[in-house]
Amino acid sequence: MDLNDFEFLLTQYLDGTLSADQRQSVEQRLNADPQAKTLLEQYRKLDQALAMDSTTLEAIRWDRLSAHISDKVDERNSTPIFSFSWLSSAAAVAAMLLVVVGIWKVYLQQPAAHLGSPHPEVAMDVNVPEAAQTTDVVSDISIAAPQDPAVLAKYQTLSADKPVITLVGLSNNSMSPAR
Amino acid sequence: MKPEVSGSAAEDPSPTDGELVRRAQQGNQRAFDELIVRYQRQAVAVSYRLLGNVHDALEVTQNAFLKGFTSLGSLQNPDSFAGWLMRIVSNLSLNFRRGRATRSTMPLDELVEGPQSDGGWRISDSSDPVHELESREMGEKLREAMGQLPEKQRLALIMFTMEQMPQKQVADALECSVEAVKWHVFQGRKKLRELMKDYL
Repeated sequence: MDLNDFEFLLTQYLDGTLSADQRQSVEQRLNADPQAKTLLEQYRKLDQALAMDSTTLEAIRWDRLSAHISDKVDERNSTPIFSFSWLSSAAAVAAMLLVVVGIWKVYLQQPAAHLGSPHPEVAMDVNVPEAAQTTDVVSDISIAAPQDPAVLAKYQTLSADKPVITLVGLSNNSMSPAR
Repeated sequence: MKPEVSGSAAEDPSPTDGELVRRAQQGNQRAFDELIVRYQRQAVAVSYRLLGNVHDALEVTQNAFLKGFTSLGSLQNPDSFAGWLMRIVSNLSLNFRRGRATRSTMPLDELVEGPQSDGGWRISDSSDPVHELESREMGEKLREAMGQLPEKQRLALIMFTMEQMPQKQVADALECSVEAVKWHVFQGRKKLRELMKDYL
């Protein structure tokens, strides 16, 4: 065991935190080694020096101190906390909400063509009368074709080989604006 | 609110720290008052060792309890309250020392009896003037030597060796393991022994 390890054990010995075996080992060395004994005495004196007198703290009126702190806690407890950090956090959340609502409103005002249609240029209005919003009545459904002839021509090309709109509940029925 | 020293928090005559913290977290301020009574001395002592001035230590202690009260919801393990509070005390003390914040708002005349401290450390309470002088000199030297230690070693020595707090509590305060506390204490003592060798 080198000196550093022994010193560590020696301080643990003073603290009384060694196991019985370790304590015995330290005591054997203390009995055999005068230098180890001097070291122990130095650490003992140091610990005594660290155990400062408590005269200063004894002058404190602990009952008054606890009452004083308790009153301060009571004051704090009954005062709503509107600290700067709380207000700034609330302002940040409010600003973020405004931005989100603004974006959402703009998004809702976009034409249907911008809502993800695979063929935005052929977007159209589908007018379904209220009475026709079942699978039984399909004849009243009208579809307004695009007004732009170029777009309409493209759409017709697209619809020639596959149905574009399929109404749920109408098997084998498909509709296109060309009809 | 005036804290009652014993039996005030609830029916249980000596509830654990964890029980008191849980009650305080539910809004029972009397439970927190009991914690103030339990730990005010330790808080003042740790702060005093770091600041060397009892007035500043009282101010820091008050602020530490206020901060502890408002942050109680963030305390994960209510049983580790003492270590958590000492962490707040040591952080506030170190910040106080760095900033030397505004002077006390504490009613010091009411809180401290007799002549007020000059902030010096004394090693013994001897009435022998020669011994008194020696002890003052040694106290000053020790204080100077403590100031040369790294922060963790100094805090570990103050809490464990000087204030005799349990190692687990010191570990909570320093946010390290018990083994690390032992090591910090040892390294601190070893360095102090070297710095104080003329006095030992």
